[in-house]
Amino acid sequence: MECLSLILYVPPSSQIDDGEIVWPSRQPVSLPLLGSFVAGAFGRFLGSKGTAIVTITCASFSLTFSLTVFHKVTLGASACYIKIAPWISLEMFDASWGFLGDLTSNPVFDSLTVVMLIVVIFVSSLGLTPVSTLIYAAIMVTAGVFMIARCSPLFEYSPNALIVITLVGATTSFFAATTGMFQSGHMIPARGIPNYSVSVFHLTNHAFFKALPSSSAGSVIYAMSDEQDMRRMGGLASPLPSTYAMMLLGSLFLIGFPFLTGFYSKDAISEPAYTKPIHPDYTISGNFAFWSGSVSVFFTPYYYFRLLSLTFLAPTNSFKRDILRCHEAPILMAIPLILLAFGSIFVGYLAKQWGGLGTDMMIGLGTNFRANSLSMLPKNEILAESEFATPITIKLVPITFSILGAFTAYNVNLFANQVLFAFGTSTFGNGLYCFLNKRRFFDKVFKDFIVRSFLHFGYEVSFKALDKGAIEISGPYGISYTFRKLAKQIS
Amino acid sequence: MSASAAIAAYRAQQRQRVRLLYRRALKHTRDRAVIRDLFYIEADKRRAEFEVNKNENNIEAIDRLIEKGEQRLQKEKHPDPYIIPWAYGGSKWQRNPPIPEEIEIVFDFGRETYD
Repeated sequence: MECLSLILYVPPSSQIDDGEIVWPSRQPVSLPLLGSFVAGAFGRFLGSKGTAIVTITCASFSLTFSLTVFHKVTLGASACYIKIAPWISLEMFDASWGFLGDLTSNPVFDSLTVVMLIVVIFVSSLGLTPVSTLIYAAIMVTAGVFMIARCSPLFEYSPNALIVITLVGATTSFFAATTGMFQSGHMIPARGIPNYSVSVFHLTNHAFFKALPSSSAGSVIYAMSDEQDMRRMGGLASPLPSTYAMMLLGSLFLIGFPFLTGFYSKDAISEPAYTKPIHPDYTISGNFAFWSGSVSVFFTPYYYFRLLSLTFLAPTNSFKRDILRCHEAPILMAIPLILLAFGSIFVGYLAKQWGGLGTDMMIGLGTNFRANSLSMLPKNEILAESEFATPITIKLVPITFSILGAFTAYNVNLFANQVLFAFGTSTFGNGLYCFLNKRRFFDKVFKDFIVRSFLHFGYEVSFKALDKGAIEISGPYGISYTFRKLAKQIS
Repeated sequence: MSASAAIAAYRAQQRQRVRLLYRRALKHTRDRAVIRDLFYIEADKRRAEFEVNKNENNIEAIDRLIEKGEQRLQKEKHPDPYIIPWAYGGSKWQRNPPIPEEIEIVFDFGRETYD
């Protein structure tokens, strides 16, 4: 979150006005940074309670500020500015801020920043539990998505960069389909297509429904006395009913179950990839993004429903000492889960409806939600085509793959585990498992071809040839050798 | 040491190796067979494979069998074996280790006298 504070802190170039930099607000942005800094640097003197009070107060204040700004900027459609002196002359942490006041300065809060603020502050405020690390990680990976959307004026004028982004993002989403990176990989191609508003929409939704399974996983680990291996869980649905409900909801959001939050944004990403801009540049990358995205949504539901069936539905495999002490998380840990679940259920639908009558708030045509925060060339505008010209079969491809993946995972892990065992012990299956387990030997390839050549250079060239070779030969060793040889010749 | 005593010692060593092999085979079967019903079936199979050569008396033949079994275990074992959280390599290894008993005062940065 601290890094994100710093990212949000950088003003876009459009705000540099007559040599004077109008900084975006530091108040909602820098309060969590301040809280974390105080907790980290002076935590020994504040004690545990003091640290908790400082961090939670900072997070609550910044959440309040962010919600105010969100209401003013996006829903109220008013330009908001906060003018703060440069850091060097900022003495009392004083900031003058207002809405629609000083029209001479540019508005510094565009809707993109506000959306990111809400995502970061809201979700990380909910993550103030002992298991928040996963949430922080999930928020952190979205910083890159925000940066690309922030730089949309640059990317929009260079189709080659867009193609690179699409290819890299689509490859990521395919290769990282069973990890947390999938959704980010899924958001990046939408930038390259280019369709920024869709991926910002998915970013908001993703913050809710990704934080939900992450915190539920933390709740399970907490309940199972720090057991983290799914092979020693199972049957937790009856001792942990509310955690199970949250995890099931989170998985359903992730597979884009109809009319939940993920449904509105996830399919909206695939469709623009199918109806890419009519330009030869985008044909290959668009098709690649669409099909790799559609195929990789098979693996994510597989991964999540395997988790569900092994942890909650399978007959129990855990140790007696764990299952006897297993208990539902205390209410302080359950409240964030419940809030996130409400967010995950309703945010997608509300964002669909809040734009007015029959228009989307975030991705629809003619919405004033994003104002001028995202730059898009008119020739790249394909929302109408992706909405109305895409065949219904193509629109159903991702959800079909998702449901297929969930179905396969449920059946394979609960009923056909004999088949899975036979496959795992076979030579090919074991080899494949080892290959994937060692991250496709990417580390080994990286080490052999890049790291080793650098080390080789460092030892052979820099150390042996230069330091020990040239300098020593022309220096002490060479001089003494030459004089000895000369002396021998003379005598 | 007489010849028979040396043979007996070697046989004891072989028995130890077989026991270890059986234990490890069961452990690694448990890593793969996640559902317990399947584990019982597979564990019975492992047991049956050991029982086949129960009455083998030739020392060299036993050596060859153990060698073969150990190679098979290396080949078939799970690349990601289950590790108890607080064991070495587990997810909780050395997290909040207990303070050694020899240490009497835990310094609380100047406030230890006020409690």
